[in-house]
Amino acid sequence: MNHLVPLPVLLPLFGAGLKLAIGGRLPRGQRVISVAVLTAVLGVAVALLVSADRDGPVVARMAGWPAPTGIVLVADRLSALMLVVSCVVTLGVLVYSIGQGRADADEATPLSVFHPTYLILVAGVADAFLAGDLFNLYVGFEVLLAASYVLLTVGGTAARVRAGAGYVVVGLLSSLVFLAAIAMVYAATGTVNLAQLAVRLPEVDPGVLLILESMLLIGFGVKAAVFPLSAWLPDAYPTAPAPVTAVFAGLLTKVGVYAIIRVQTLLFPDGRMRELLLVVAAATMIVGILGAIVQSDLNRLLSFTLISHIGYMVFGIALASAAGLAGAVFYAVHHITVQTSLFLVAGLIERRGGSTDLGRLGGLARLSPVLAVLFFVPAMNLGGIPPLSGFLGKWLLLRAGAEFGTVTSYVLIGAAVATSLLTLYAMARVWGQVFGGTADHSGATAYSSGASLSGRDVAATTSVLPRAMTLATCALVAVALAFTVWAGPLVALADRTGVELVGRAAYVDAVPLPGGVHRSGGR
Amino acid sequence: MKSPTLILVLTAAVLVGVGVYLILERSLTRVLLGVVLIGNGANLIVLSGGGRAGGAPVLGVTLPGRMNDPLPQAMVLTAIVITLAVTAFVLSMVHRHWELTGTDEIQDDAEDLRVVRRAERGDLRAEHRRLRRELREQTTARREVVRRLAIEARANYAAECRRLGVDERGHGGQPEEQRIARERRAELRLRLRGIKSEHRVQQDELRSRFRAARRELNRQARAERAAVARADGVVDAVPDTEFPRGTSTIGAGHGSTAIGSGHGSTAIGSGHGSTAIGSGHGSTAIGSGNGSTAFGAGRGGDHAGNEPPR
Repeated sequence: MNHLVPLPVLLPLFGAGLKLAIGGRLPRGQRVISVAVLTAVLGVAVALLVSADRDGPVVARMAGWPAPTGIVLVADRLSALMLVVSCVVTLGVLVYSIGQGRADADEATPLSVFHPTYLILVAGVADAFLAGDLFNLYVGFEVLLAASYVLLTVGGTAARVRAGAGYVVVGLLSSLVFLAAIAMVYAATGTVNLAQLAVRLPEVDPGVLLILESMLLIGFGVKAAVFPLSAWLPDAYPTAPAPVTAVFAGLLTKVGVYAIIRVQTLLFPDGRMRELLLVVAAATMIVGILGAIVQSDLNRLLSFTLISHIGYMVFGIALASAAGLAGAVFYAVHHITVQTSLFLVAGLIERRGGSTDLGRLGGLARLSPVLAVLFFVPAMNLGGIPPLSGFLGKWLLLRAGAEFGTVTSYVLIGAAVATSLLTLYAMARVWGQVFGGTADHSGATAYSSGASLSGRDVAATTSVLPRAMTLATCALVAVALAFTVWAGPLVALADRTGVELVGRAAYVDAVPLPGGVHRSGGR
Repeated sequence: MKSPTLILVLTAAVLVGVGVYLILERSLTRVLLGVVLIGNGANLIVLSGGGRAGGAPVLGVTLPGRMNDPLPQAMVLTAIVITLAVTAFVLSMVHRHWELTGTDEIQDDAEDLRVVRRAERGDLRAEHRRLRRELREQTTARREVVRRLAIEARANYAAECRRLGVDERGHGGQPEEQRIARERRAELRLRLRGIKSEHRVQQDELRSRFRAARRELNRQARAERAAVARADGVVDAVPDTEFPRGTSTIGAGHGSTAIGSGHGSTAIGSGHGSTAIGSGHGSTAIGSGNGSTAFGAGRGGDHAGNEPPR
């Protein structure tokens, strides 16, 4: 099983290289490679999850080097679960983007850029999830960020370059903060291996520890778009092509959330940042959703709900109890799927209605009932209507918060409920403006901007949605519904993940370290 | 203790400080330089994390006790490569931005525009309120003055009448006095009328100033709505139905859009707009090669002439 661990990183990289070698000659071959690679990665990820759940974390030493010197990849329940969900989502978005590429008939130009870059993005995400040391986590982040810079500015139109400029600079800065934090961690402990850090960090001076923790949190907080560090997101995401926005919204922020979970549980389990994280979580929820309510553009609105719901995961992380972490993990899984499908639906809406401006859309429910259903289900899911997974995730978090029982946690429960209601309000407003009323086609037939992968203006709205795009969206919506059907096993898995994260021992013991208490010098 | 040299740490601090200053600039080239400096600062921090300098960590060259820590060096090499690649990417992006807009300064985004417009409108509102209050105060003051002047004039007239021995309607007394009283009355009437008309002129002037301010306010509000709409719906701002009519105003508006906001397809769309209007094309010209000929010099080739006329 151990030799499977590097595959989620290696396969997409290999596929990307193969695609670049092929070039634009075999469009069909290109598509087959992408789908085959991601399906294979999904298979590997499922195998890893099963193995990690049954026998504990799976560890692979790169090139046979032993742990603190060499690079180790670790797949525990959290990593494997995130990997599985991200594979499902990226596969769905890939099919969607293939459908969009075929519908726009722009295979020749973007394929040589979009598809290899997409695979590299997947490799970066997988590397970040599997990284067993801080520096490899940094490399994984950089791989996925570099790919995301390219994807966000693909086509190079002025709007995308404008959005990309801010995104790239913010991404670079957060990476540099992270790099400086790694340097300080190494200076303080003499290692960057996560398992070894878990052993060594408690011996470090508390003041130094606080600096390390806050620098890591700032670096990851920017990537996860936690409130005071989230202003870049709504400007960056909406201009990109729909599949890119969808996969960014679903995955990239969650990689940041994953990193926060990993670092907070494994390296800093003492919970000194708890009150701060709780306050930040509440601010993220409230500020994000208030931003969403006033937006007049669908993509911007969804970007703000994305920020807002990051707050739920931070809430679970801040509680730092097994139940809270289980809630955060379940919520992350739910939110990746739902937010991605909502952005995909927004892409379909743009294609059908010609715009994402809420003021210009209307009457789509009559024009395209399928689209209405496809929007309605994930929207209600995001709002947390009872049988759906959004409700389950929120319920897990609220229960964990109530168990925690301090004043702040009760305030946070109130904020979470208010955010849920306001999300529902925002979604109802979108529903009323986009799907309700009558269609006004006088001005809505303007060609849609930025829908095409190559940045070319797409000719006009289509009356028939491309089948691959609709099917991919349907599949993701169905996956989110499956979370409800198989909620029992999934919540049990999330609970086991939470227990494993709080326990820490499984992760530390899984990585073979020389002696465990070995310290190199007196740094 | 194996402490690293202080010079490395100080250099890193200076690099990061200068980099932060540069990153706050609007010019993308300076931002890039700032990022490069901060990146180098971070690399130096990593390097100094390895402790005191030592010999090359190669067995047989240096004794194990005198070796430098090789791990930070390996990490810093990776970080340098990554920073280099991203720097190259940002450079290409800056070049593209310059190609599209003719400048490397970053433009305001939709939210920035909204905030600025709202602040401007707030200022205008305050000005409007101030003018209205001023108008009211001056009106009441002037009315008071007019009233006082009228009372004074009437009192003078009444005193004159009394002196002449006629009542205020001009009855009684001698014919000569009656004639004088009539003249005084006519004078009084003239004076009252003069006061009133003067008052009216001043009032009109005030009111017209106030109206001009209100017009300005409304114009600004309309411009703000249009700008926000432009910034929001990139293409929607140039609805094709508008091209045939109102040539001069629309042309000017689009021209300024293309320069001012510089959005991707907006710029193209509005480029089309101004071209179309300038050369007398109707709405049919949108999306044809015209826009790219207008932008042809500045823009990259991928739009020029690629698209069939719609």
